[in-house]
Amino acid sequence: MTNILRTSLTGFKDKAAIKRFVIRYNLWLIILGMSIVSTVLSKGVFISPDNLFNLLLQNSIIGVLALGQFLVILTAGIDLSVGSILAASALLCAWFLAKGYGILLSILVCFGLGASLGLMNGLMISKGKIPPFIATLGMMGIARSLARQINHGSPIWAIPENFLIFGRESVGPVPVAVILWGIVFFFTLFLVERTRYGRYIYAVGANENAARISGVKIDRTKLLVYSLAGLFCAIGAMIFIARTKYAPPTAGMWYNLDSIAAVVIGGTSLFGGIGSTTNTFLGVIVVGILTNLMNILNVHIFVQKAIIGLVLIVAVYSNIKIRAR
Amino acid sequence: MKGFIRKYGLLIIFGGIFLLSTLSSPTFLSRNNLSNLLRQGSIVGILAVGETLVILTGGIDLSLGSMVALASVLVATFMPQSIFLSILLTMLICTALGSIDGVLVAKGKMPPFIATLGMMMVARSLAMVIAKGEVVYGVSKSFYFVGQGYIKGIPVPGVILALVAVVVFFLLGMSGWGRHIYAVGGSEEAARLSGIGVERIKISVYTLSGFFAGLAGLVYTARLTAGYCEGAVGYELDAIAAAVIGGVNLFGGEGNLLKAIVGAFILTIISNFMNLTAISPYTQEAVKGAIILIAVYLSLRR
Repeated sequence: MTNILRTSLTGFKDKAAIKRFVIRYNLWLIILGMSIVSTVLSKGVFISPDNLFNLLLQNSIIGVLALGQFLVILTAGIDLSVGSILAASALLCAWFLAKGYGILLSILVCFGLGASLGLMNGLMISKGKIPPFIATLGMMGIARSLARQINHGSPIWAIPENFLIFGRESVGPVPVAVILWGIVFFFTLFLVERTRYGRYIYAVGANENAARISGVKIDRTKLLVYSLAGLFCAIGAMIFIARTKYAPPTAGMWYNLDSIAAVVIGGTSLFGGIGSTTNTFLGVIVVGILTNLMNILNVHIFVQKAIIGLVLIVAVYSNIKIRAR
Repeated sequence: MKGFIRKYGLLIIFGGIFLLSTLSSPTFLSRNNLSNLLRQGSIVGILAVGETLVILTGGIDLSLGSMVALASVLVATFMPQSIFLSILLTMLICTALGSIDGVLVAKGKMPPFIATLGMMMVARSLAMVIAKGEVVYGVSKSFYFVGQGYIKGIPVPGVILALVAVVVFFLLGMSGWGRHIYAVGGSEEAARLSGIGVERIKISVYTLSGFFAGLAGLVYTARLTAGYCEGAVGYELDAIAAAVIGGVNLFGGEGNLLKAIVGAFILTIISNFMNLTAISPYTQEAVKGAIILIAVYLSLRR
């Protein structure tokens, strides 16, 4: 009798341990599983260093945007304007490049526009008390129309060759775009885990009233995260132009969905206050490998987007379920 | 004075914009332009009816534009087989997609803007896959009536909107279902405790929103005489704006359907005015975005 009890108890213990393990490392396990499938399907090509760096390069833009989206969602907000802000910044940057103002000035202008559009989001949300999804939905239209306005609806093609280093060159085996992504990643990691504002961001997302009462500067925290999200869009715009060698006003139509999907798949709670920078990176990699896999399998681009939409819904659903338990 | 403005503010704005448009463009009051206005306004109006129901429960539907495009592609694709069947199938699919939104929100407890954002992408993708990224021709001439015809001198889209508006308005005001919608939006917890089937109410409004999106899609297709998978982008914004301009509270529980429809026409007249005065479509987009934000801001200030 005691024997049976003991074995069933240890069995239970093991099961619980396995469950904890799976929940804790679920992203790693998903990545491992998809990598094995991809490696088998591509007959080993997937796992080559070249292809892995290529995977990082292909996801660098989304990776940078997702970090901004991550900060916003941590405060229980949402940014539906990332794709449009990227397009507006890209067009402005390309316009300055095409007019021969030089790389440095063009990048500064690009960053300036991205950050100020983000700041406007932050102002509407913090000072104006407009719900984030409405404010950024409005910005989505405004920034997109700005992107169209800059070159009267046409793409800008005249990108100077030396700008392309940001998208097409590598330092050793590492593409420059991936290095930029890395810089943004470590900046975000440092901000979130090592600074006062990082703690504020979590506090605002977890319980805004409690945060206010304990003296957290809520408005300033929100202004910071939306401005950073805008700035990251501008960095994404820079990589976009350098990779594609042109700046179309339709750039980044799907980036809202992709960035939110990456963040949510990375386990960040849409209700704010829970999430980690590293897991956001892993979320981007999951979406990246999934896309890569669908490309190998020749899945139509529109079907791919629908599948990512479904994965997003499943991820949100399971996050809510886990939270409810 | 304040009470007067609160009561008649919307009509004053409507009248003001109407007058301004009449004075600044000689073609504004032409029969042609006015019936054009009614047709375009009716599409936004039909969408606004569904969106208002959703917002009244404290939700939001961001999938409307994509649903209109999907409906447009579906009805144009099936049209060569049978007009009746194509309409039936389109309405069924859109209603079903709407109810999926409802289930995700009500049973899945997902934030409405995420569930419907997912649907926005899924519906747009479906439209593009079915249409293979191209314009779908082959809409039969007799179907044009839905978008371009007249019944006793009134454009058909206006008649459809009027029917929809009257039915939903009376249901909202007279039926238990209508009172429950307001209750859920006012306080979900209180509604649940007083025995209202909150989940059922939520599913019903998203389902209706999908249904009306399908209906608007039919009118849209009949007006343009083809299925456009890339069309109707941003229509959800127009519908939300119409509701907010009409005084519907974005957090739910408060608002009048007929005022939301007046809101839809205010928006339509503004874009019509911008068209007549040849303001570039790119600027128009930004102006619309700004109007929505200002309207939301003002409505929160009240």
